[in-house]
Amino acid sequence: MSERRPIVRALVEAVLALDDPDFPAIEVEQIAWGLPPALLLSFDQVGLFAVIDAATRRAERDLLIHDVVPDADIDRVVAEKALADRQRLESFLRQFGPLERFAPAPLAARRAYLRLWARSGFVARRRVYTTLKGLVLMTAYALPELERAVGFERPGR
Amino acid sequence: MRTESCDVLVVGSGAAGSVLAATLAERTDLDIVLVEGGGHFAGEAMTGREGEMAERLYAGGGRRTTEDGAIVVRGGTCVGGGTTVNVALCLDPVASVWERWRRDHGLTGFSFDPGASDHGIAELNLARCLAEVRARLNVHPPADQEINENNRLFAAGCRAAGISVRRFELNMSGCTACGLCAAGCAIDAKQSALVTYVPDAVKRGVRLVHHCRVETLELEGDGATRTAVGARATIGPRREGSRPNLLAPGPVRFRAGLVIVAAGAIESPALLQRSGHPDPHDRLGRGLVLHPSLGIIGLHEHQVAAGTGIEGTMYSDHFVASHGFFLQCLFAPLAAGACTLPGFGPEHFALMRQLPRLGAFGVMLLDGVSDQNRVVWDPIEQRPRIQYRLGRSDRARMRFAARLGVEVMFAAGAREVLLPSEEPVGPLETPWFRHPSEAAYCSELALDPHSTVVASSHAQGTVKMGEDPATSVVNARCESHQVQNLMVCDSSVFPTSCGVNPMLSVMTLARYQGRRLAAELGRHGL
Repeated sequence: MSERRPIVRALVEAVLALDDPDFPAIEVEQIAWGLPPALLLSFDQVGLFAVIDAATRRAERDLLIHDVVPDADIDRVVAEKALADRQRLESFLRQFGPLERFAPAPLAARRAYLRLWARSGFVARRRVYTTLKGLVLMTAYALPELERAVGFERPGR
Repeated sequence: MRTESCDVLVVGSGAAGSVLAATLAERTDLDIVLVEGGGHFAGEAMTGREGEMAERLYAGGGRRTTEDGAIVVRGGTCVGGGTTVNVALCLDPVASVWERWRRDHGLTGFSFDPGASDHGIAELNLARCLAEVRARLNVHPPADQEINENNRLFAAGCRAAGISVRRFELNMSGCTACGLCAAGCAIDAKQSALVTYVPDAVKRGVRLVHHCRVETLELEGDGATRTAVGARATIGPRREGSRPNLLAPGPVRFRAGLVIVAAGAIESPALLQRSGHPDPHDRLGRGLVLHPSLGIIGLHEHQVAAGTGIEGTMYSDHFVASHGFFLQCLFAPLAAGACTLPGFGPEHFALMRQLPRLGAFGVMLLDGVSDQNRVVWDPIEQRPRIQYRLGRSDRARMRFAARLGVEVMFAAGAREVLLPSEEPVGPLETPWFRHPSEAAYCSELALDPHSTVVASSHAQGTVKMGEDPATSVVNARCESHQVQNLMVCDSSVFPTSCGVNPMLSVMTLARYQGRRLAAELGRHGL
């Protein structure tokens, strides 16, 4: 836990709006539940965003095959997506400096980094984004402080 | 290992299993055991807290998804199954769909003529069974004052767009409109199987065993003589909030003259697969239908309070015949809704703070059948893998439906309309529309997994019914083509989409098969 605690905090701060004065005061530990350690640790390594591992490639191939992309074109399409992601990462690094890790980065950089994953051409990378976002939001919006902050009226039963 | 003997073992206490058990108990003196993998959570255990109830009542704690993680496939895993957690929407079985199944799949019976006697059994027909189910569930339309503002706006939007709109019927009695149907009904107003057919069955002597995970069916013999003789199961410890169990925790073996699998379109094929049910034509688990649904979210000028009152009371079937989709008025619970909305950080929180002014409804697609979409039991992870992707033609229809939905939401008076999606469309970074003319950008939606949120609550079609063993797994009597004394009866046997929200179709099928079986016990030596 000690190794990933700063990553959890950095992620929760990026996904929620703790920097918004209207956002209720909550403890990050209240919403760290369920975040998969291995996923967090790899997400933290900024350079890994540009690495197309076997699982990412396989997931993309499956999707392209399902979408009836001709076999001969699949490698080219994957290469184009990889290039696009690499260029977006380079652009991100030009804007925010030579970051190696997500956790210590400034909040704006962390949100821009999350956006990289959200808008990736690779389904496996978008899945990382939706998984992390979903786990944080699902836990956060179960808190009464958040319910009140967004005007949710718990019905009487 | 303990052994429990019975005449009939029913696996699954949801829409199908509960009705089968109750019907058999009503019409025979058979010794029946009804087993359920989840717990028995009654009104007093329904706290209304979203996360807690998802863990108690839903498959996978509400986090069951397709293998690629892209589509949440909701289902009830508790006594009463999906009927315990649905929002009480009742649409009758569609006669034309069943007629097509009879024609295309060689099915006999399933007559909608109330005077018919299918299979030579007096007064056995779907019309009569449907009437009985509707009466037991108190299916009726909501009163005018039960239509909340979200549904009223949806209906107004449909009418303004020139689209027909109808009122749902609901299986409720004494509803106080707390808006928490999906978290289980705390006052037993929702007339789910939990408060109707399950107690009916138990009152007539059916033994209900919950927290009971069936590991495998027991099959004996080979080839044409292969016969189901029972099941091996493990009863888990009773979870907090559940009613007491009939049997103590631990392994148990059930011996039965007839086994009926009614565990739903995800678990039923998985159970058959891990039990070694023969599948010579590679049909088992294939052809999954999900009724994928896409939310249409509107930001109104005034308070809508969509989460207050009865969630769904209005729908449109205007495009069902021509394009195969419904518009149905629904609103997600708070935390699930938060995950659905696009973006994160301050923009997401700003949108969440608009909650009282948000309205929503859903587009529900009647998806086509593809062999690639299927359920596969994973022996390593010990869970069913749900392999599903939207086909090209389904995606085209979904784009059209999304565009129409956006137009309806604007016609309902929404100032802005957005989709639960982070895909860029046209010049827009995401499908967040400020003017009705922008609805046309929906034609550019890729609907890619993990870019656009699509959800499902209606899994069907993985143990298909038909008379040809080369193209189906069970016959019109829901009997396995390959294994004697084994029936499968739930939404998995539908050859295609049943064409509507499936609860009444499933319960009517179960009532029909229960009545038929009571008159044909000799087919199974009972």
